[in-house]
Amino acid sequence: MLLNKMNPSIKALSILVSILLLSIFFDPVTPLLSFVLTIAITFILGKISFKNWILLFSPFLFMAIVYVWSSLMFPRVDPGDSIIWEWWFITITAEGFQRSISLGLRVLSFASLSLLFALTTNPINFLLSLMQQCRLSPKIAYSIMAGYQFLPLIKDEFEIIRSAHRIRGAGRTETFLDKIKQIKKYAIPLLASGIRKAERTAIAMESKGFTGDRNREFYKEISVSKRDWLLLCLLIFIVLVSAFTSHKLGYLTLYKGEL
Amino acid sequence: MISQPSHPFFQVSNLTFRFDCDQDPVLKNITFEINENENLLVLGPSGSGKSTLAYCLNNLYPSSVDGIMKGYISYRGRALSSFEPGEVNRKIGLVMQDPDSQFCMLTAEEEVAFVLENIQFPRLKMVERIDYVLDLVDMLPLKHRLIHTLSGGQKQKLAIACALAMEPELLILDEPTANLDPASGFELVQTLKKLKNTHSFSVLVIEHNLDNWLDIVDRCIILNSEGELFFNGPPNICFADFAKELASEGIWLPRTIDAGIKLREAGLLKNSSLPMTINEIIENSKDIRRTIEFLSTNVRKQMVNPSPSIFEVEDISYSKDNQLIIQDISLSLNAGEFIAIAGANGSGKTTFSKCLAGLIPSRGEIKLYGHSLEDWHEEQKWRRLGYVFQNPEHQFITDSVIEEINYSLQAKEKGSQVYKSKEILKTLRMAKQVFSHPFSLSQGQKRRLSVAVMLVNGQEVLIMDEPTFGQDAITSREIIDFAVKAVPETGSIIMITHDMDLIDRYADKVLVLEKGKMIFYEPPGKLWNQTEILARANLRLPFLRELEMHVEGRYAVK
Repeated sequence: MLLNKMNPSIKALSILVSILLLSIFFDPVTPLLSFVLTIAITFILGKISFKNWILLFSPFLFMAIVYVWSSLMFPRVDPGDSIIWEWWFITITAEGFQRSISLGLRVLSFASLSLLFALTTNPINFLLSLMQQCRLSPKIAYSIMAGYQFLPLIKDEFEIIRSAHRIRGAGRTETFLDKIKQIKKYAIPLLASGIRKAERTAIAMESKGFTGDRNREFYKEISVSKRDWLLLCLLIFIVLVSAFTSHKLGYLTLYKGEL
Repeated sequence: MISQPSHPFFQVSNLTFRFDCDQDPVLKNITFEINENENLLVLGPSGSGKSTLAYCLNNLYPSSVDGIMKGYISYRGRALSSFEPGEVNRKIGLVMQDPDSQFCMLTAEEEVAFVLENIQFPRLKMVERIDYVLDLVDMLPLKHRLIHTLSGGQKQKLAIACALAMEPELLILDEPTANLDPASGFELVQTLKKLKNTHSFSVLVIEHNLDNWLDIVDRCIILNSEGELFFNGPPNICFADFAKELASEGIWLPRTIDAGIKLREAGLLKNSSLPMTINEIIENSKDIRRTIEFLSTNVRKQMVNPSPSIFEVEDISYSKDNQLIIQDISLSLNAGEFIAIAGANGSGKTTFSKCLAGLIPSRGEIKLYGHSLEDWHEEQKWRRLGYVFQNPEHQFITDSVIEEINYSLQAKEKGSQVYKSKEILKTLRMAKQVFSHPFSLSQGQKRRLSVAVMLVNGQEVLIMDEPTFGQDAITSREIIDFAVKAVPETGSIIMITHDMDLIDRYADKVLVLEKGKMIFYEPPGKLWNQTEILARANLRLPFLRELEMHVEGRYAVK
């Protein structure tokens, strides 16, 4: 049972359901537990490099810290809240503290679920699966694919134009105005060739007999197996177990529009 | 091996096509037919509407460009416009001119699969078919490579594989060999020949390199620069009777015909009919030795005395994504030398030239005029070194021809500018286009301008990446002549090319690359005897050498 080989559409559905379920609860324990369990599943069942994961996870971590920090510093103080610490204009209440931690952990648990999907899914397979399982129109799916393979081409083209300009001595930029002028000089040939390329690619696709007809044969069949549904159950189970544990510990609260 | 044409299945009558109602038509009143299992060659100067004709046949125009089409094209007796979208496309394989923008998938395998999916090919047989067509063009080892990492020639091969995968009834090839190395270009024609033994299909080819195609072409169509049909008939009549007209329009002639015209003018032929094959030249020559001597006269004189060195290259390597693209190349390049870089598609020619110019960082040491490339001040370096990219449009940075030239001059001096730019315009023969936008120039003018802006400051070293690719005969000659004249005698030209005749005629030395390694770096005269190196690097003999070989072989038999 390898996450990378799961059906991308079902995987996306599982992630979506888990996130929706998680958002019902608003306490620190539920997201913490599901965060830890999601990471465990990511690394046990998925074939991904830890480096990549950390790299993509760090912005979310930073975001979570900023959330916690700001809601700690500027809390909503309701009458009857128990004050833990007070200094000058900073008032930290037990309720506020719990809320901000919950919020931070919520961000992290959502992030871990999204990364589980993003790092174990091939975008081409995802599009194929959307066409085969979710009846996405091939016209849209193949346009996205054509656009996707354009990205490295545009990068190559940019490199060429940049070195061509360097050779002509146009690479020097001193003032801010120069820089803006230079962007224009890069952008016009890049856009011109981009439009031309897109047009040609569209013609090429048509010449290869592509019509956007939904009824087409697929070289790579993206199948759905019992294991895919098992994954859906597993992820829902994780959220429920986390919520249940939280309830046993007496922390569980439902989200009532705080913050 | 000429296949027997049967009845017509494509009929074009009075076709006129324009992109916009207030523009001149690109194609005017064209009438012709394509027979089943026939091989058709379409000739015409650049801008004569050859590609447009191909798109019209494929039902892509006028619908995808909102063009205006008059006249009638029918496929098996039914008007093209009455077919469902995609219905005719599945019977026609099209290989487009630009190798960069005809793919929509990531890997070679997926791209071929995309075509098969479109024609509802049974899934279980797909793997077999994909491997089969990739093998036809020698691309099977690159099946899983990302398309954008392939070289220009490899992309072209993949496009051909995609077209063949459909098993089309008509295969339209728009300059299919422009980016291919000489051997691959030859093999493509052989492959098609072989396929035609087992399958019946027609081929319509638009091509500059005619020599490979001559023995399979059944009929020629010539379009003139106005977009009118000028000739429609068998190839021997086409080249025998219209060679002069073709040459004056800038259309490439088969090399035998080209040589034949010159020989006829010099009175070296026994009769006035032009030779189609090398053997015909030999049979038709009054004195074969004089013929060879005559044809060799305009070969550029080789440098004799050794001159100071310009480039000293030591153990250069370059790798990308953990793949070695250039491996341990060491060489030196002297003043006055014309160096050609040749090699199979994807052997690292462009990469090596970029290393030389310091456009990409490489391991090892490159010395330009005795100083390490890294020590050069950018501005100083580009005043002595010019680099011309494959696509001239990449190099233009201003809005008019005169501004382009002035821009390059600016860095150097201010006073004599006006005088100097006039001189340059004169040599460019572009006095009328002074204020035109560089993008609006013709192909040949763009090329000349792109070379000129690299040389106006008296640059001594010029590196050019396939400057004659996709150009008509006149333009190609102009570019090379212009570059040779403009680079001072103490300078040097380094040129990447697949054109063996060009190498034979101009180069002092040929650098042959194979998978990023240098396997030959000597005068071309020595290369032509090294059959093993020629085969390894996918090169072929230039025309003159081939002629000599034929003569020698003949004498040996006698």
